[in-house]
Amino acid sequence: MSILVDETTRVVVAGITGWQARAHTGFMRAYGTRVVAGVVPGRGGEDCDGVPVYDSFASALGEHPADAAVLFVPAAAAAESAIEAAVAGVGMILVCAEGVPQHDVARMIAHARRAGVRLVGPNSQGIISPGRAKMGGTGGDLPVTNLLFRRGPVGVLSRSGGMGSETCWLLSREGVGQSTYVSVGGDAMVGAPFSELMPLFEEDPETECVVLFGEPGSCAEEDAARLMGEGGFTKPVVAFIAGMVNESAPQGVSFGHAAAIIERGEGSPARKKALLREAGAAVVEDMREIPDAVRDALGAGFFAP
Amino acid sequence: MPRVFEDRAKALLNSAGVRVPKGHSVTTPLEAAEAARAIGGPVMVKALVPAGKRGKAGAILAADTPDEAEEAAKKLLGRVVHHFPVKRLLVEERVAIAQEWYLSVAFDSASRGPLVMFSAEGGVEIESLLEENPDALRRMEVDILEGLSEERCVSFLRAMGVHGEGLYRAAMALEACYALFRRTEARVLEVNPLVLTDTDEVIAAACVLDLDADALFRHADLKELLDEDSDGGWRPPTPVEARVAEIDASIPPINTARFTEIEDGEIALMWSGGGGGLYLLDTMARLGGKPATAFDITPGPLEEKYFEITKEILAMPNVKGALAGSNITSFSRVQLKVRAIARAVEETGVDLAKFPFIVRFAGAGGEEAREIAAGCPGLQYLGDEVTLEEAAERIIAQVEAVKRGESWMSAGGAP
Repeated sequence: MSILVDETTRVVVAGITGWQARAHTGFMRAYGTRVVAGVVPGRGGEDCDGVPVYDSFASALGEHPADAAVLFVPAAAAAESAIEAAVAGVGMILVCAEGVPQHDVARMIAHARRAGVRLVGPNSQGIISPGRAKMGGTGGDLPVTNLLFRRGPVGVLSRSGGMGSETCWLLSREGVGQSTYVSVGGDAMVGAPFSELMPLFEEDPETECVVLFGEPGSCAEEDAARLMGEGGFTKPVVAFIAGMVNESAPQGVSFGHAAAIIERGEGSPARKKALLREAGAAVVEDMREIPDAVRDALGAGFFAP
Repeated sequence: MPRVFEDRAKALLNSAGVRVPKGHSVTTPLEAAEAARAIGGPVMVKALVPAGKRGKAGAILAADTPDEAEEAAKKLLGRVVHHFPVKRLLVEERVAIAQEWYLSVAFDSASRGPLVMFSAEGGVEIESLLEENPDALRRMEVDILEGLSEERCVSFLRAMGVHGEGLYRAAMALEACYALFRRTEARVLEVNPLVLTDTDEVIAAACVLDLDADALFRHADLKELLDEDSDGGWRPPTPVEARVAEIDASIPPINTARFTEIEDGEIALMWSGGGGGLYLLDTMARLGGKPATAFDITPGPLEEKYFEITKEILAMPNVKGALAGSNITSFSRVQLKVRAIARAVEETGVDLAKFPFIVRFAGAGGEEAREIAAGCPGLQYLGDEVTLEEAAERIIAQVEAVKRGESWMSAGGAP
């Protein structure tokens, strides 16, 4: 098992004709993802590397029932595309664009909520269930994807796309595989923060442990700690929080993602670490300690194949 | 974050239907005196800088007469307030305060929508209010698809103890502030204090309007109202930051480079991926290295921009070495960056025997990148055989060796 995406998931790709989207769609299909249609306004009727293209989600879904959509559209167009997908009834929407205006982000999240649709992102690198399927840009081409990810018992959630992949690579190198890795998105507001995805891992029999890669800003880690404290997540959690350098920076200084803004003492890495530790997570100070902490969490029953 | 000058933000508030004090912006003491005369009566003279806590910093002075306004202007102009030089002043009518409230609209990462915050105890620093009496601040989540009705504003404010004619006017002000927040696609709109006068008028006496850099492409009219000094965050952009911003704005795709100069740094970090960059800064701090820059660029056709910015970095007098790279996964055609670096090294004539430069890239285009690096004598190319931490350790040791007057090759690392 896995969460969000597997080899049975039927995927629609919005913006499929762009060069980056086309490359990633090729990588997704090579990895085993079932891409059933593309959506590009004004390009309906075309064929993109064997994938039929439609003008809208409504017309694509009329011909091809689908479970999920991945949006490779530019930031300025992301909200309208996501809202269209939500209204058309796609059950899960992944938004990759970085730099989506915040009012658009709030609108797309509100629409998804109303439609009862799961929205991952924006500013997500993608989702991968190793050995099964992937959506988005995670991993890039097949050789790199196979180097970084392997199938196994660890669920990985990260606010940084690149560092989430790096986390999976550290684990894979030591023979510890992943059930699903989700790049939840680097913005302060995302459709599915840690606390909304952890219950899926709780239900997933293959996932035995979850690794969180956190950053300064927002309340994603605080909410994850609260969920653990309330008993909503009972599997072991290993966490790493980047951005200690921000603790000493003057107010208003931000390196990294838009979310990495420390305001009024809330959202500071130190506070996130303390709350996660209090909730029972193993919080490591150096990323390289993640594999050992995961092995400890998995216990004596786990042997790397 | 791009911030609108206070006088211009007040003009926007006023056109949205919120009363603001009568005021004029000025750049000389003489103009300040004229403004005070035109307003008539006591005034406040405020430094227009994109920083908070201006009152405590002495950047807001009271003046009872035009002569006093002129004196106040002399004291303020040319001063530096929280790192920002004072270039313009706002001379404003002093309002008769009966009550001071705090009002803001911003996004909330918990509810993931707009959040209105209000306190009947405004006029002070909101941070200290929160420490002393967190209950004094109330929050109201807004469904962005529904918007904020006048009725909801009234009942929210009534529950905060606002009453009478002031309640009606405060509700109108709140409704107008929310509308302005939406129309300008702001990140933050804060009015502190929102003043209830002794004649039951509601006036926005001070305000902060921070916009969304990612939404500015839709708001050409608002771009002109921005204080360019706010682009540097807690201080004005440094000269090199300003030049990089110019490069970013002139070479397409625009608005794709993020560059920060770090004081007293020695090692330029050019690391792609926000999370990776952040982690590298942490790692450098832990290992005792001194980062001089944080520089990230969005994947795409970036070679020319990367080339121009690399030249700026190589010209920074305090920089003694550089580490460029990205996470192993980056789908960003790394050969473009390595070629840009090799070209910048060649054009600036920097001697890599005395200036250690490590690039650690892996992923799409890696092989071509390695070949390009091989054609640039002294440029050290590392692939996925080396972790980010090891690359950081290496550049720190090499820079230390150079500072001792030794060759960086003595500090390890493949030449």
